[in-house]
Amino acid sequence: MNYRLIFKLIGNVLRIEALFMLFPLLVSFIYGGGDHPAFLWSILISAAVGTILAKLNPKDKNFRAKDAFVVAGFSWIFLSLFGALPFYFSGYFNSFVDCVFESISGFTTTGSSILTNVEVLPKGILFWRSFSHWIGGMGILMFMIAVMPSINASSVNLLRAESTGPAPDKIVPRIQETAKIMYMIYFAMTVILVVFLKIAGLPIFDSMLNAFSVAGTGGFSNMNASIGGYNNIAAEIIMTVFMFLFGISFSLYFALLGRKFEKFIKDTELKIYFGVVIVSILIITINISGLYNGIWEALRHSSFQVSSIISTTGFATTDFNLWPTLSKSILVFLMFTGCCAGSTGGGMKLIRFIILFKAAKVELDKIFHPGSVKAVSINGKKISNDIVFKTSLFFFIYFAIFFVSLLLISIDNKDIVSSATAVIASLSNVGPGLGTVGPTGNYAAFSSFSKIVFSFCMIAGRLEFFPVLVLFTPHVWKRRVIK
Amino acid sequence: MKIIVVGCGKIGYTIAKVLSEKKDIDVTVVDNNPNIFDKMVEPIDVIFISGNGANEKTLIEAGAKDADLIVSTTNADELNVLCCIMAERLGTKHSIARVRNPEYMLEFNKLWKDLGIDMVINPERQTAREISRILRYHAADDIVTFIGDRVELVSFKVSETPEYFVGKSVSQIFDNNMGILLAIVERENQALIPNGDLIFKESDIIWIMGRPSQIMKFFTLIKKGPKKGQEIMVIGGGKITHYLVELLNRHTTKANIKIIEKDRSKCESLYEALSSASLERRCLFIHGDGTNEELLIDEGIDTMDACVCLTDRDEENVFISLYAMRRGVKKVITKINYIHQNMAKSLGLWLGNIITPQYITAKTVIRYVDGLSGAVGRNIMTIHQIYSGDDGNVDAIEFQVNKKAKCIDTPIKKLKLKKGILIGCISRDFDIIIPSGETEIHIGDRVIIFSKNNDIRDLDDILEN
Repeated sequence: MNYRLIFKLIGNVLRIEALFMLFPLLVSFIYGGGDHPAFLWSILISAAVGTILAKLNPKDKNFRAKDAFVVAGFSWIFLSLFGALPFYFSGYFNSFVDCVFESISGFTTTGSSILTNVEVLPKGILFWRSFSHWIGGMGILMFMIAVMPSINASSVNLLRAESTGPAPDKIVPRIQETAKIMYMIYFAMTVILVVFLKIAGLPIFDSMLNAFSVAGTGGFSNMNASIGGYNNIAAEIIMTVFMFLFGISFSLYFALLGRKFEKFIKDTELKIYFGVVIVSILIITINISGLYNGIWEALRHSSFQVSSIISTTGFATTDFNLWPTLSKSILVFLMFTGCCAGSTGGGMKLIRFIILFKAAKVELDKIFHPGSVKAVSINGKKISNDIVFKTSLFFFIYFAIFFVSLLLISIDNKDIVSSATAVIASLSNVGPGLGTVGPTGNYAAFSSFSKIVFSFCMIAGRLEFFPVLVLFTPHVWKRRVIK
Repeated sequence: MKIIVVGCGKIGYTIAKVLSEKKDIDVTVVDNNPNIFDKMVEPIDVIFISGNGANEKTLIEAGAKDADLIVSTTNADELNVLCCIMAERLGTKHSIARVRNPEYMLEFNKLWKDLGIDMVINPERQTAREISRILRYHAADDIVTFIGDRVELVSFKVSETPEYFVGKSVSQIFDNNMGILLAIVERENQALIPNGDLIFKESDIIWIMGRPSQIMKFFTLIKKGPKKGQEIMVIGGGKITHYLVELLNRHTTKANIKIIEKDRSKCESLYEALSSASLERRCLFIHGDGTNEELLIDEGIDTMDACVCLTDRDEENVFISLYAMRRGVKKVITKINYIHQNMAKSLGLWLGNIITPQYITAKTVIRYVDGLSGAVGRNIMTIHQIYSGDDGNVDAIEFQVNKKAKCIDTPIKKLKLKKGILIGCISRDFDIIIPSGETEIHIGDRVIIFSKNNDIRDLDDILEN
């Protein structure tokens, strides 16, 4: 492994993080609250460590594919560790593990908190929590690619390691251009959302925070009762729509900008996404209509919740823990699927389900026509067997990690529904699960060990496993001396 | 600038790679094998589209409607032509097709232009041309050409003719009337931009620049000119050999060529294709295995002036080359396709004599692209890195002087040049001028600048601020 190069890049990531921390520092100066020393120290430490690492001079300047995965894995760990510093210095958290959990939950856009009362936090810390969603949503490496002066063609592997979906790729020939366009679309949509929320009547600070959470599909809120605390129907509808929108692949928005409407409308994954959302909303609305005053209120809550869970945001307007089992089961299913590949959302991604459904159909046909030659195709493009295989493997790894984590969490002896949904919600970066980790609960009751397991699940889920799993292979740790 | 490259084989890949490393060029690669991109060891910064390059849908997806250039490099000549015609009809501004079949190359120019193809690249013929150039100066190590092949930059070792150089100063050997410019002297891992007082040493490598005819004269002067009736052995009888024999036959120096080819029918058809009366006297076609030591000795490898290895297999070429060098053949030229140049170099082959067809082709395409971008305002035509060592790099940069630059219309001796800058030569109308202190640069000239460790993007960058 080319450690010098890897840590040089990680140094750059930390420097960018220090830059990002200037925003909450500004907020803490504007609103007071006394948390500015926490940010000053954090910026100083991150910038210092980042600069030292960035000064490293690698002997071999060639950036290879294998390095990219290690960089992605390590970057996110370092990003989260240094991102936890402001929490630690602020003094509102019980232990450093709690800070790291909160930070990882922020960057991976999970949004599960170990805090029981967020409303007492100073504004700067609140801002940093939500802003970390925004950074993690599109990805820090993508940002680095967009702003770094010289970008090697091999950086495409960084992009692949961080983007979501079975076969992420560029939308324009230049990798740097791709990253810039992605961030531009992301930024523009966030600004539009802030404006809409402001118009709907939210204070500007709250509008920004919630916009960051929605854009990154995170779920941190500055209210204990999440979005339900505002009791603002207009804001809820705006967020319902935008959570859905941020669950769509950004390459499709690029197609829209390029006036390729046909590509947008005919996208298989988008059609399925739309269908799943509509059907889920309908079933849940009917299922829960008895709990609320009339069908409209049921529809309001069910649509918000479906949009929130499938996009893996994890906001809540109501306690869906009290809903009937059918509705809860649908929500758990949505936690598994997540939204579209290439969006800021988490989960396994609908496209993987589509690929495997089609592969299963091909396999079934082969029972009747053993000689038939068929291939899985999506949007008119053939999907290679290699990708089908990788997708199946992805499912296996997801469930393998799910079961191992569940076993480890079970040491805490919580009930099975809470434990299982907590693990799913972490792996899929949703945030709230059911039971004690439901929308009104939080993760404070778990032991430090469990919090570390959850933290691992969140990062593994956000990077879609492989960049994290490579860190456990001996290749990464073996020292090879170049003569 | 948007460029579409069709076909991602050796040549397509190399062209896409080199183009994508330039700024302001967006490359789209089309290939009908969807997996080819995942198998690349070294990823390149391009976007990949799978499909047939002559399919309208694929071409539109690749952006043929507003592309500036399409380069079609698939194995099939006909497909390449079809791709170019279709893309051009869809709106692509320029097109380059790879055409290899010698039978298609007979009627050149007009017909291709009528079809809408701006340039035909023929890697085999270009390779042959490069080889013939190396054979012409058999003392030379490396040859770089400028201004449409009208100026050559040639390097050679002083140790080839020590009696002529060692202990003498630059001004004793080179004077303005020769029409030759001494560009750089490589000495002990350093590149020197020489002045008149520099004394040559035996270990030096010298780069000189000038018109091909002048350089030829210079080599004759130092007793290293082309020999009449050179003995050349060519091993492998493919398309490159075909073009090479034709080219060598056009030389004034009438070489005697022996061609050894393993495949009987290939050998016979090559003989038929090349058997004109003038050739028959000086060409010998031998059916046999070039890796057979006895055959090589029988055919007189020891008496050869040059040996050119052009078989399909890199390993054979490298082996035969190394063997020929052992037997004392002065000039050994090796064609390699897959092996990396540095790897071949580390085995003891001399870099300037290693020929890689895809790089030669890529270079031609780059020049064409540079010409296109030169037309839209930027004025660098070509850049060649000619030296890279412990003390940095030396580049030779060709400029088109097409706008008001600060350094024009002033005698060169009055210009305050940066350290490590040398004005190589100036091409004006049909003249090639080796500049002296009185020479001035005018608008419309082409100027070649040598730059050591300077970042030159514009002609005025050569001046001290």
